Amino acid sequence: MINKIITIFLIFGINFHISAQTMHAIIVSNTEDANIGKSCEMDQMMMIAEMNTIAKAIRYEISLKIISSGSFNFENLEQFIKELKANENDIIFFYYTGHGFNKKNYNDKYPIMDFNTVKYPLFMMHKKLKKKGARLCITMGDCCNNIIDKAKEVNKNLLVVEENKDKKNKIYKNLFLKPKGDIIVSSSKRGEYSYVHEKKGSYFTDEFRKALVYAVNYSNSLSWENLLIDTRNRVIRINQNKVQTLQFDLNLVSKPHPPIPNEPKYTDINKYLNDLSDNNISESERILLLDNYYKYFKKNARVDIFVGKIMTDMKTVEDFLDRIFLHADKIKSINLIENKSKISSDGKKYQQIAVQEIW
Amino acid sequence: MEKNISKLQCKKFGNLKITKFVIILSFLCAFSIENLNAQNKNLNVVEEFELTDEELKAFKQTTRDKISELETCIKIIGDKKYSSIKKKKSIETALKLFIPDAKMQVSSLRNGRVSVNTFPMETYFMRLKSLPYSKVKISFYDLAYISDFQKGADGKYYATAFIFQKFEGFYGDNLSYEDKTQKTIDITLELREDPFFKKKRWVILLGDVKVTETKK
Repeated sequence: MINKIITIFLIFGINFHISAQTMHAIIVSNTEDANIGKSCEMDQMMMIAEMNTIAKAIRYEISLKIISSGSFNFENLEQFIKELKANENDIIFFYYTGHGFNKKNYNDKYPIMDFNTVKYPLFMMHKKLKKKGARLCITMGDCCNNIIDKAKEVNKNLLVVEENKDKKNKIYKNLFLKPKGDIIVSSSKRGEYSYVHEKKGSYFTDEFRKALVYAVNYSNSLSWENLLIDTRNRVIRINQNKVQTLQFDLNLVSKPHPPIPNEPKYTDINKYLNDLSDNNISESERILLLDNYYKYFKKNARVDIFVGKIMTDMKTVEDFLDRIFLHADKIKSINLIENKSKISSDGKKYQQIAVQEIW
Repeated sequence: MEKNISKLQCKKFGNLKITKFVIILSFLCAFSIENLNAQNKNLNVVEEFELTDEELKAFKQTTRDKISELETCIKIIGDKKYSSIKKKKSIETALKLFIPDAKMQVSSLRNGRVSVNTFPMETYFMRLKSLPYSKVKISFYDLAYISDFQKGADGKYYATAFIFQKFEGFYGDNLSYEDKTQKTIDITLELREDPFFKKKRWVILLGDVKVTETKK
């Protein structure tokens, strides 16, 4: 009898220990700023939703700390970080959306966050958070990175300008459960601005979320590198004539899927398809892209076109590419559905792809 | 129930009851399986020829995209500023949208009178490419309207699209001819074998394009 009681206790005890792994989500958002406040509010909402989704998918407790509105100041953040405790299996995900900049004499490519009275480098924040000893530490900054003079005001450029649940969870696990180490990301390179959309929020945050949702639904496997490269390509595309280049550094111990030599990367295919249907790229460049399709696809490869979950059309890759070349002004974006696509037996090109077109 | 029967009696009658029970249960199972198979067969047959609302909605969206494709192709083929490569690709792409013997009606409005002519689709595109104007501008001034798909007696689904075209022909900078035309396009959604991939699938094809109204 006693053995039974001990066994039951141990089982519940172990379960309790497993369920106590925590994702510390720290969202810092300048929602009261006159220029970018509304966009930051959108970013904050999107990231809260995303953090909750991630935590549920990997079965982690979520500890959500939001520093925004009236509490948006460096002292609050500093106090919180000081008191933050993380276990060795925990995840720390720090996300900042607000003003940022860089300086001529400041020797780092990552931006400095602007808390009005206090300016604090993103990289220093990342260092501080890494010291907490969590298994995975992610620091993300969505802010300008343009170089300013000491004496000048920070100039933030304001451009008012969609299942298999196990597969989805697998992607989240690959990103958040398997890797150990740290990641730092900023939405623009040193010397560049980051742009916002009045209704969608910051372009970087919006495209990061889309890239993540897309990968979770359509990719076979996903690495942080692919995710961030895809986000970078999306931001470049959506921003059209503005220069904004996401940058990142990965310091991860385990890579879930080592790259297979010569296997076409889904980020490359996505970029190829979207460049072909990008009216901002000259026709002659796009004709060249069209002529070089054989780099990624077998001759007469099959293309299945989906609307949502339903396949509504089928074409040879030649016909499909001609079509998106011609209708570039009407196509908003194209997503490769990697988990419904097939690579040829030699592993070098696609013999069948599935895509979602957004007109 | 029979709570007062002795244990021995329970055992004897129990065995008989169990046997009866098993036989009845077996019959019921066999009947259910048979029925289920029949139902499944019916379901498979029905599934093959019946599309759900969600599927029809998706095909309607794709039809909208195809109409949009056609409009863009017509614009490119008629406009003198586009390269011959682009025009050639547009004609090839546009033709693949249609059933093989689809026809295009064209109209012209002169001296208050409308005249309508009908051409095979390929002939129409070649004529459009070679219009004598120095500049041609074709635009579509309203969003195309597409009716819901309705199932025909032959198992195919049918819909109609309405497009609104504005045509302007110039000699130099002088506007020589302009009109606005409303046209209908027959749409068919049918299950057929893909001629290239040899795979059965639902295919959307555009049919005849007819003029319903022409005005200045």
